[in-house]
Amino acid sequence: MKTIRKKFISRLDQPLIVSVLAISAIGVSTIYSATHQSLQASVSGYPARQMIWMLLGLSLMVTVLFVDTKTIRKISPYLYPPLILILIGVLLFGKTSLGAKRWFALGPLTVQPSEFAKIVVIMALASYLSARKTTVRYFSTVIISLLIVAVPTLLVMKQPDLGTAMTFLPIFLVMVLAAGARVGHLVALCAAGLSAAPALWFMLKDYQKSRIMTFLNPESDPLGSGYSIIQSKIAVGSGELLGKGWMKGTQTQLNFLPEQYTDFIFSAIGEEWGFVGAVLLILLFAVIIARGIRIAWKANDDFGYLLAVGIVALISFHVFVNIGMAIGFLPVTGLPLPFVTYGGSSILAMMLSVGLLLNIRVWRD
Amino acid sequence: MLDRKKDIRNLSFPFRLFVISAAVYSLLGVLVAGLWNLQMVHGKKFRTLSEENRLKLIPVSPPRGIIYDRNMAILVDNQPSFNVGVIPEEIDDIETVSETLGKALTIPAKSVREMIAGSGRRKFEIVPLKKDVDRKTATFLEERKTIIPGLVVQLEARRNYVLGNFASHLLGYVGEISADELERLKESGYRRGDIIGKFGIEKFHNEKIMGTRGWKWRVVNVLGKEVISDVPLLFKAKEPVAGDSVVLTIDKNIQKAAEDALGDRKGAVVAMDPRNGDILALASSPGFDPNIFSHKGKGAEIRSIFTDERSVMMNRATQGGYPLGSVFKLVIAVAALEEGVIKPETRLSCGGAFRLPGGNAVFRCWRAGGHGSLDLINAIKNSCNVYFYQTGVKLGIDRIEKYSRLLGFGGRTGIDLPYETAGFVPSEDWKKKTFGEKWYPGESAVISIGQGYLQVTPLQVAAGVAAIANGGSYYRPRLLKGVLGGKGEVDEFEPVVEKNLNVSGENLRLIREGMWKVVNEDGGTARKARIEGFGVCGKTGTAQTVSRNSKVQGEKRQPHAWFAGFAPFENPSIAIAVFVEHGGYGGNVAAPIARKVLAAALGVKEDVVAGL
Repeated sequence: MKTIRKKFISRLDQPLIVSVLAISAIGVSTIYSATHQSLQASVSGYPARQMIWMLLGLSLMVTVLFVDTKTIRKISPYLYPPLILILIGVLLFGKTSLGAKRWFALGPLTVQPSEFAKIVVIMALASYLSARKTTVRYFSTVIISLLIVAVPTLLVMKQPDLGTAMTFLPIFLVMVLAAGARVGHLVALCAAGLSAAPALWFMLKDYQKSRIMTFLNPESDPLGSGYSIIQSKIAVGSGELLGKGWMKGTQTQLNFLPEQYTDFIFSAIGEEWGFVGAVLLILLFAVIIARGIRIAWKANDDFGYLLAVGIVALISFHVFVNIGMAIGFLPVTGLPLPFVTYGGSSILAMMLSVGLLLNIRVWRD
Repeated sequence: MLDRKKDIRNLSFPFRLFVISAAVYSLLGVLVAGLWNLQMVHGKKFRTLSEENRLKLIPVSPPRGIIYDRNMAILVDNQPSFNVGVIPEEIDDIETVSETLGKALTIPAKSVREMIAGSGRRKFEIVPLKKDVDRKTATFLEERKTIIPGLVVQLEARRNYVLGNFASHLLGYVGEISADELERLKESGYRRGDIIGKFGIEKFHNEKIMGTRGWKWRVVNVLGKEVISDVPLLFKAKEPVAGDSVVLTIDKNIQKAAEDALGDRKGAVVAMDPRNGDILALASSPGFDPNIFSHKGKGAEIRSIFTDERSVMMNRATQGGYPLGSVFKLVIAVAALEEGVIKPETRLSCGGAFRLPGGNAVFRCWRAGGHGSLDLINAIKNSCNVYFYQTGVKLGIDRIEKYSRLLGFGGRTGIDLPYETAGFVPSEDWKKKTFGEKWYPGESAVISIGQGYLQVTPLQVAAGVAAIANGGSYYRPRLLKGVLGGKGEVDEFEPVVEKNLNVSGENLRLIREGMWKVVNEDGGTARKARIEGFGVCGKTGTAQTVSRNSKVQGEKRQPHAWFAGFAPFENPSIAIAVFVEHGGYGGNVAAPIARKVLAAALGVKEDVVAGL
């Protein structure tokens, strides 16, 4: 028993765990800085709440470690139908906020199912593809994979939550590529997708269109959607090399930044910790990604391999889009920065995904 | 188990994983490059902006378009208005400042202190103290700005209705967008604090008249004081785009004549050009002064007109549906001639009363002894009820309904004003659905003289008469003649023919002859509308509003007075509808009002009108 436990513990990927904890700590302290002077009473409890979510997430992570990867692989497909039902459910019964139905209200808590949808889709897709190692070269397999991803994507788009819906596509491409699909097929799919893009443009709601237009020229609407981008750039840029110091970021403290504890939390980090701090944060994420790739490389079986690849894609995409938005490089999307952005569902889902990564390594035999 | 590893490697997995890793790391690299650019390359600029100079974005309201009458007389424009406020963080001595400002603004110093100390704002935001301050006080305070740190005097444009209580329902008024409206209109780009039209043309044509918001960047230092900065601003200001100025079809003089003629009475006048649908005047009385909505501190006045029992805010020309009385006989006449129920020479007998075959009800004529034998023209001239009872019953409700709708009743005219009502035209179907009964011939008789379920608006009446006057083209009534272009020229809109009546021109001419006799021959009911030499034509109406044995007392027992007509007889250039709520007899009350308005429109000298 003891030796098994020792083996277990020694196989926990320490750099991964340490990075996650470090990033989370940065997250909580930044949230504290961004909210302690806020005029909204409700917001002042956020750092504490974030820590609670973190602890819950950590326990979730630990729990997942006790389940054999093979078992996880077996149950993955069974998680998919309930997910679809829940996504439909949120459309019908969800709480509406700012014109979107993305959340369930459970008493004082709000749950955002789309965050968990990302994990479930990765698991389901990994399970599907790992069983089709030989047939992955066929276009039909690729199409079915696309469908597995497309259904939740469309349901999320209807909420409407364009930002989250967008994350499924790169995950799909990366996982299918990693699984061995023919590059030609993927290129064809992308071409088809691009040609359908103009039609999709018309399906977008006005505010989504204006977000894209404003991204292309933030100065065209500085009072509306352009405001966030402009203020964020000022905040990040003004951090210069070493930042202004914790709790001393003037843009943040004076509430120039909208949504500064959620979407634009990175702007606060950029302002208060400067280039050094921001790059440090990115390096920590790079560690997580590197460890994730290593876990994929050394995985026993296809399922573990694909699961790890999917999670790496998930985390990278979020990091890229969120930080990219904060530096004015990408349109405003509302995607959270993993482990940093305030939000229970995001924290839990990300902790769970790291738990799965650890799991793959721990149960490797 | 271990074999699987080999499988993985065989399918070029290492390469794929490598590509994916490279892609991910490149993305991270791009982020670092972006950060380098923002923080290291441009860092200093942003630092200056964020610390020593803070950018605050001030939205600049667009100047609202001017509203002119058809002869370019200004009806609505914008005037400067001054608002006084403070930035609490900049005030050095709250006590003194409260005293000084309190005295200047005639607000108790205690209230000023409370407003300054109030919480719930962002830092360095302006606390408004008093809006719409007079110019003298504003200048007085502006001069003392250096010794009262924190004082802010802002210039704002105020909507100014040049003639006060004039064409108030037609022009409308403006106000700050409400929470409900914002909810509905957010997607169209409206923002909190926008001033929008709430009523009348200001509302209907708000998109054109409002213009586009601009903005300017205000650079303030760490104390919140505005500074002229030589740090090159990274973000440009945008000039607001003024709203379009519009030219109405209204003629100020005709409108004034209409409003003067109505005076204090409740009612409406609509004057329209039958050649193109231009509304020359649209008056509803009582009116209000739209300026009270533009000025601050008029809450009491505003409340009182909204609660006034005379329904001041209702545009009686377009929002009220009323029984029409004998004017409706014109519709019956058109229907009867077109359907062949009556020929121009058909004579019917009026002995003072009419009884349906096999029925008990007696329908009386207003002339106890009856009119004797009449043809259509004279039936119109004398407004003989019995002639029209008989004709209406022969037509039947279906055809009456058809021609009512043909002449524009029972539906909105489509004029460019909000809240227009469609009025009501009954039908057999409707009666069955609503009361579960069939339509009785007696009800056709009642409707033929414009009583019963029928409800019309004065605008519908004017538009219908215009179609009769011009020989059968129903124009859509319109208020907007054109939009002022950049160089002062007017971009005119085309008149819209809503429909062709497809009614025989001869028949309409016959009816016009009858209408001429109503005004110009002795024995006609509208002699008080006559203007010698100008060929005024028309039809009176006296619509009963209560039944004979009703218990209603006083003014509300009076019937509604109506007059509908046009002038001159050949090539009419103006059609008119006059409605006086509970005013009495059409010929007595409504006809003289029409005369005054027509006189103004036709350019008849004042003394000539007075002498009649």
